This record gives sequence, structure tokens and C-alpha cells, in this order.
Amino acid sequence: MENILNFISVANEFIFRFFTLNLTSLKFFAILSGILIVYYIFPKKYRWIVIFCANIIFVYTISRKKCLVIMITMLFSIWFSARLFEKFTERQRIKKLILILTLCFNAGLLVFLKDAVFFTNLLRIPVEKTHVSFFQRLAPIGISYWCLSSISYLLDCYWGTITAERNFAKYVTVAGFFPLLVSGPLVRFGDTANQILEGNKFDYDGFCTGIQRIVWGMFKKLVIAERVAIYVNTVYGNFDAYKGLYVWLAFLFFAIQLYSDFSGCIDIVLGAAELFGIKLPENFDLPFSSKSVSEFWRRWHITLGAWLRDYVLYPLFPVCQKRLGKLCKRLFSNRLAKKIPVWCTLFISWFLIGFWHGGYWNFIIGSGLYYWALIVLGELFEPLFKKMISILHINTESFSWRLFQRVRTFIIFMMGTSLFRFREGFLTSLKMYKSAFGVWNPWIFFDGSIFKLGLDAKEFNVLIFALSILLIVSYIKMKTENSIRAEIAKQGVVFRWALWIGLILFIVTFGIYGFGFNPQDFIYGGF
Amino acid sequence: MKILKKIFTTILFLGILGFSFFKLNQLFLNKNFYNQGYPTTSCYANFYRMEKNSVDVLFFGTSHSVCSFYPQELYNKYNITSFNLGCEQQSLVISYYWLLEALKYQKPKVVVIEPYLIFRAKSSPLVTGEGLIRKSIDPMKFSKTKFAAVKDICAFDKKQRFVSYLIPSIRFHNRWKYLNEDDFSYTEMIAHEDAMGIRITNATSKKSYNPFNISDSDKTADVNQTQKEYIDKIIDVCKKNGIKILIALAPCFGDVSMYNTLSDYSKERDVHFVDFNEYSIYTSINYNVKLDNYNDGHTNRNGALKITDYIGKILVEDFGLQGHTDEQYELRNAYYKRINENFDLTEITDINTYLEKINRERYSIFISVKDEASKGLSDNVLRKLSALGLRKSLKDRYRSSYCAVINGGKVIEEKLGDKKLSCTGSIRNGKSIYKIESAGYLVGNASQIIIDGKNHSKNRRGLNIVVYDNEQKKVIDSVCFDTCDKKVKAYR
Repeated sequence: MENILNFISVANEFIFRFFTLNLTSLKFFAILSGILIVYYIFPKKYRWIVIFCANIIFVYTISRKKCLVIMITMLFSIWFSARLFEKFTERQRIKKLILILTLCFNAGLLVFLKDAVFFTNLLRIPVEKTHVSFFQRLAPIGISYWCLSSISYLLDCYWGTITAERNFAKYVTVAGFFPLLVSGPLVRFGDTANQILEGNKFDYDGFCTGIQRIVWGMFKKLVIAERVAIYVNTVYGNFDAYKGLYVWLAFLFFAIQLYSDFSGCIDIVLGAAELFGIKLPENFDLPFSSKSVSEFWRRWHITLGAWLRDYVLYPLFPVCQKRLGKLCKRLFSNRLAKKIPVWCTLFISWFLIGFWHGGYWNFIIGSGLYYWALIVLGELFEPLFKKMISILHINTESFSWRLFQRVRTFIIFMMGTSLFRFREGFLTSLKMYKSAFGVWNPWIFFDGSIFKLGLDAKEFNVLIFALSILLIVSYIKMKTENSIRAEIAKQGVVFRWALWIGLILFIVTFGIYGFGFNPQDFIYGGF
Repeated sequence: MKILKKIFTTILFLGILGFSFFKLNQLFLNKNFYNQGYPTTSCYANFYRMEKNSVDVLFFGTSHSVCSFYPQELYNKYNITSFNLGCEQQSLVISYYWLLEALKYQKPKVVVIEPYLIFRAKSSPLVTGEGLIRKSIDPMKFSKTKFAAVKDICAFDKKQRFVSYLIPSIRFHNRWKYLNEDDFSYTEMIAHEDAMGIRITNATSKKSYNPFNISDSDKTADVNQTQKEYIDKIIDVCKKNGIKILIALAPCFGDVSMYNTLSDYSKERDVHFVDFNEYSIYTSINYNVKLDNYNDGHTNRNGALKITDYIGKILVEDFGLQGHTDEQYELRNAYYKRINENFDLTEITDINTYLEKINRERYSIFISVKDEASKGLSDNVLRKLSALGLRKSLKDRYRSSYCAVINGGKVIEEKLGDKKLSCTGSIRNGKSIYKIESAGYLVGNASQIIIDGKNHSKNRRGLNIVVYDNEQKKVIDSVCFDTCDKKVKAYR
């Protein structure tokens, strides 16, 4: 008996150590390979069981027992409520009550476990007295992702757009699909359930494209994101010391870091899912090609935007319009009276986007209200802008105008990232802006000063080269309907192999990883 | 058929990827070839190439061992075949595993252990950091011994990762910034002979040291327990294999407490012990730190010859080792001589001898005149210059400019004139680029000898000479002979 217990303890420790990983670690790929082998060995009908077990072990080993219990409880409440909806199809009031109670329980737990700090800060309660960090430690991995996915499942079942899953284990298999737990994307039960539960035959081409997607994600994360992070951390870590163009470059690099880090992570997740024959929804669609802030958010973190649109904005808008419409008509002009209910609904949505990122004002403002304010101001001054365009005879179809719009949108995002970065508060971000605008020091690019912040000239060369590759790939993606991988697949074997082997060796050589280097957690892994 | 094609394609793709990955790892690996101060990579590669069971004595230890025990010298004087498997800061943990590895290929009669690290960093089991550990472990062939060594290393130093020894790029991929010609010539460099692991230098120390007397004190020194444990293991393995052991502490500014500790230990384990820091031995070999050490704890060539000679005597007289001729050592002697010639060159101050000694095909010689170089030139010197193949005579060319390049025994450029002169070209098949400038007193008064972007000229009055060894791929000497003056002084 003692031997068995010892064995379990050793196995437990082994599994824990093996799973304490990030998406770019060798361990992750080793364990993913193991799961894949078992997955394809199992009969097609029972392959979902392999994923179910992987999900449970993944959450248990990363977040430990208590977190697994919380996760199972939350998922069970959702699953059970969805099942109850079917029992009370004719009794709307009970259905509504069940919905409200389940929503309150799950959303409440999500907020409590993840964002309690927001309320303690708001009520100015000292952190030591609140045990916030204890509760934060209880939050299971990926709670922000699977909890929102589950809520969408609950609402879809409530509205009758999908039928509830009868088997709880199968529900956990879909809702807690392990590659999604680190940083999304937010998937809907209806879109993925069949793919995950029915099991997939081994598809050679799909498997290859999955690996290719992972390689591309690794390139973005290890070569670009981790490289710019060195500079960004130096400047943001000591923002009082750096002024002028040092700070502007940090703004630019942080924007690049956010994109390459998050989209790189999503590429790895989507690629990993493709290895199982599962297609997950895209989360990015060339966000830096956006001509406006609204468009940017349709292309950035697409699944979160779509979730809020479908489950918050659309259900909320009629309510806002009903409550505010009449009042606004009395107080404002016709145009404003129509707009104000929309802006109010948008305010709630943007607040929630910010709040979802974390219970700190930097997130609420930096990735929420900042964009809301810009959208509202844009709409408010729309007539003025149109007049200016007309007076200045600007051809809005020209390349230069489109380029201007894209650059403007990028700069808006870039400036916003500073608000997003500082948990210390809004004033810290303002200090950073003051440093950026206060000094004009272009010589740093010529006298070598820029190379003394962690990235020397050789590192800058690699970064520029890598960014050029990213730019070319993005451009090709913009110009072709197919994915870039499909375009490459059309080429000759020598070219294709040289390209993929070259890319892998490029990552091995120029990636920032290994000895003396602690990989940055994926930025969106924290949400 | 389609499935077979896919399997074949996948295997081929993975094969190419694997091969490329292997070559990339080889490229990134930190290498120390024969042309570097501590040539560990070449040393271990050459050890594997030694004929089986041809080595009678093995040396293990730190840089003190590498600097002090010269196998070729031991052979030349006593016909004893030996090999130095030491390395900078070689932890005794590493010495132990290298002994196990060596025993797979050789049957040594004596093992000499240099135990300096037993007194270092008591709180750190390995004493040595990863960088130096890897110098010894990375060149070891993959085997159970290597896996056991790495396992132990990782157990002692939690920062190190087992997998990084299997896939070195994890540890070394950042070396892409520092890759040089030698990294891309791995096969050629690894195939080149070395001097069996030793470091040779002829620099001297300015410090002084008074050797201790055994009677000074009976104090003992604290020891690193892990290092002691592994020296125990080394002795156990040696005894099991019938190998005699000599513990030898090289001149390292040691004190009597270290002596007492090692002496007690040697008696306890019944092994020979010799301490070169102890007065009677120190004086008996006529050791002088100022002349025989190149810094605090390391012997230079002079010192090493004295130490090696003494070790040789012990091996013959106390261990009864008998010398025998070995073709490998006969052949390697030529290389050993060449290195010694290079060091001899840096000590020559007489221009006639110097011009004679640089007349070797393996050298590239760069000459540039600054100011004035003709007044002190004797006929003898002119003849020696002529013997190098130079055709333009500096005789009576007061304040003229002059530059010349001799490569592989052939003059490839020679210019003489009253204007500022320059020549640019390459040696070693275009792998090293040079640029020489010479300006007599009236046309600029300067000398430059730039090789691979670095100016090596002494830029003094007279003949500025730079000697580049094509075998070592580096400048081995830069000197200026003031041939304006009859005394023809050498300046380095």
C-alpha cells in the first residue's frame, strides 16, 4: 500500500512538473505529442475521452485540486441549468429564474476570484485584510475563457439556438478543451462540440498545416515578442529615466509585443487544435490594417468582441433604447437622441471588455473606456470631419488617405497600450506621455544610445528582419483569399521544405529562450 | 501507395530537419580549438584519436594541471606516454567522469590528480560554473558515463538542465552573435592535432612568493566535501583497476594548511603526494615564481618544464614506470616544437636571429617602415632580409617608406619609395585581410599593419614587423627593430 502511495505521489509530482509549462516549452510539445499518440490510438468513437482526461489533468496539475473542484462546480451548474431549461420549456419564469441564478453564480464567482481586487480598491480596503490574493490563487487556469464560453452556452440553450448536451463529461470535454485554457480564443459550444466529441480521423494535410501554424506562432512569440520585450521592460521598468524617442520606441515595441505575443499564442493554440483535426475560430484578422478604432476591435481579439456583441450589446441595446430613448429625445437633438442609447450600451460593453482583462483601472481604461471615448468622439465630430475632408478636397479612395487612416489607428492603439500597461495607476501613464512628448532626442538613433537598452545592433537587425517577414506575410494575407499556408502548399517541394526548415532553424537560432532566460508568460495568459 | 509515399516524405523531411538541427547544434556549441589558450575541445577530440591502450599516465585537474604538466615534454625526456585531461577549474566531479570515460580507451599505469579545487567554494558542490563544466563535458562522447555525469551535474547545480546537454542550442543559441571562422570549420579544426591538452605561455608574473616549511604549522585547511567525495571515488576506481595515484599540487601560492590536509589525506588513502609549494621541493627544482609563473597560480613554460621534469623523475623512480617509444608522440613532437618556436620568437631581441627564425613557410610576415630604417642596417641584416625573398634593398634609402608581405615563404607584395606607401590584400585564401601603410619621416611618419581590422604595428621608428601564424590563425608577434640606430634595439 505504501508503495502504491509513493508511486502515486511520485507520479503526481512528475505530472505536475511536466505540466507546469508554457506554450513554447519543450515540455508542452512533449506532452502534446503524447496526448496525440494516445488520441489517434483510441477508436474514433472514444477519442473524446482522451481529451477529457487531458483537460482534467491539465487543470488539476496547473491549478491544483481546489481549483479543479471550483471549475467542475461551475461547469456543472451551467450544464445542469441547461438541462433544466429543456425540462421547463413551457415555464418561462422558472427558466428565467434558473438563468439569472446560474449567471449570477458563475459571473459572480468569476468576478470574485479574478477581479475582487477592483472592489477592494474601490472601497479602499487594505489588501492584507481582504485575502484577495488567496482567492486569486483559487481561480482555475483559463477561467476568463471557459467561463465566458460556458455563459454563451447557457444563453444559447436558454434562447433555444442549441440543444443542451446530455453527458456532463462530454460537456467538460468541450468547455474545458485544454489548448484553449491558456489564452483562448473564446469558443462557442455549438461551433466546436461536434468536432471535439465525434473524434477525427487522422488527416495528414491537416496535421502538417497544424504544425506549420505552431511554427509560425513560435516565430512570432520567440523571435519578435520576446525580443521587443527586452527593450520594453527596460524602458517601462524605469520610465522616469527615459525620455523622448526612447519612450516612443517603447510605445511602438509594446504594441508589437502585444500583437505578436497574443497572436503567436493563438497560432500555437489553433495549430495544436488542428493536430486533433479541430478547427477553432480565428482571433485576429490583420488588426493593424484597420482604418478605424471600431474596425480594429473587429479584427483584434475577434472572439471576445463577438461574444460581447452577441451576449451583451445586442441584448442590452433594446433595454437602453427603451429606458433612455424618450428622455434623450426631450433633451437633445434628433441625431444625439438616437446616438446616446447606443453610446450608453457601448459604454457598458467597453467597460466589460476592460474589466474582463482584470480588475484594475489600467485595464478598464486602457483596453476599454479609452476606445469607447475615441469611438464616441469620432461619431460626435463626424460631421466636422466630413466637412474638413470636403474643404481640403481629400480623395478618400486614395492610397495615401487609407495609409493615413491605418497609421492613425495604429498610433491610437499604440498610445493606448501605455494606459493598459501600468497597474500603478492612470497618473503613471500620464507621466510616460509627458516623458515622450517632453524631450526631442533623435540622436539616440545615431550615436548608438538606442543599442544600450538590452538590444544591441545585431539584435535590432534580427528584429527588423523578423518584422519584415511578418509584414510580408501580412501583406500576402491581405492580398490573397487563401491562407498563407495554402499559398505555400502550392509551391514546389524544394521551396516549401527549404522555407519551413529555414523558419524552424531561424527560430532555434534567433529565438529568445533557453539558459538564463525566463520566458515572459504569454501576456493574455494572465486574463 | 499514397500512405507509403506520405510516410517516406515525412521521414525524408524529418531526416533533413534533424540533420540541419544537428549541424546547427554543432555550430552553436562553445568550442576551444588548438589555437586557443585552453584548447579543451581539441584536447578531448585528440584523446579519442589516441591508439587504444597507448597512454601510461593521465593527468586530471584544473588550469594548474593544464599549465604545469606537459605530456610531450614527459615523452621527450623520459619516453613516458601521457595525456593531460585537465581543464580550467575542472571540478573533481568532472575529473571522475573523465577518468571513467578514459578507462574505456586506455589502461593507464598512473593517474596524476591536481586537487586544487578541493579547497575552493566550500558551499558550492561543483565549485565550477556551467560554462567551464561544459568545456569538459560537451566534448565527451554520448554514453552512459556522460549521462551519469550530466545527471550528477544537474543534481549538484539546480540551475543546469539535463536537456541542454542533449540539445546544446538551448544553452548556446545566443552564440549566433559571436560565431567566427573556426565555428564554421569544425571538421577541419577538430581534426588538427594539439599539444595534448596543455596551455603554453611565456608571460611572467611580477609577484613574489615564499614557499612554506612543513614545520611552519600543523593547521589543516577546510575542504569541499563533494570534491573530497569525488577524489575518493577517483582513488577507488584507480585502485580497483590497479592504477597508481599521485596527488600533485602545482605551484599555486599554496600554504602549509593545504599541505597538511592533503598530506594527511594521502597517508590515509595510501597514495603518493607532492606539493610544489613546499620549500624543499620548491628549491630543489630551482623554482622562482617571478620567472616561472605567469600569474598568481599558473606556471608558464619555464615553470612547467621544471614541474614536468620532477613529475617524470617520480614516475620513473617511485612508480617504476618505464619509457618506450611511441610513433604518435614522435609525430606530435613536430607540432609541439612549432608552438614552442612561436613562443621563442616573442623572446628574441636580436634582429639577425629574428629574421632567421621567421623564415618559415607557415608564417605570414608583414613589414612596414616608419620614420627611418636604413642607417643601422648591417650587411648581415640585409642578407637575412634578402633570404626572406625580399628584393628591394633599404640600403642608403634614408627616410624612405617601405612595406612588404611574405606569405608561405613567398613575397606577395613589396614596395619601396619616397612617398607614402600602402598595400592591401589577403592571406589564407582570402580568409584574413590585411592593409599595410608605411610613411617615412617626411611623408607622414607612420606605420600601420592592419590584419582583420586590427592594427598590430608597433608604429615606432624602424622596421615594424608583424608575424602571423597561418596554422594558429593569429598574430603571434609584433616587434619593431630600430634599424635607424646601429644598436638595432627591439621594441615590443
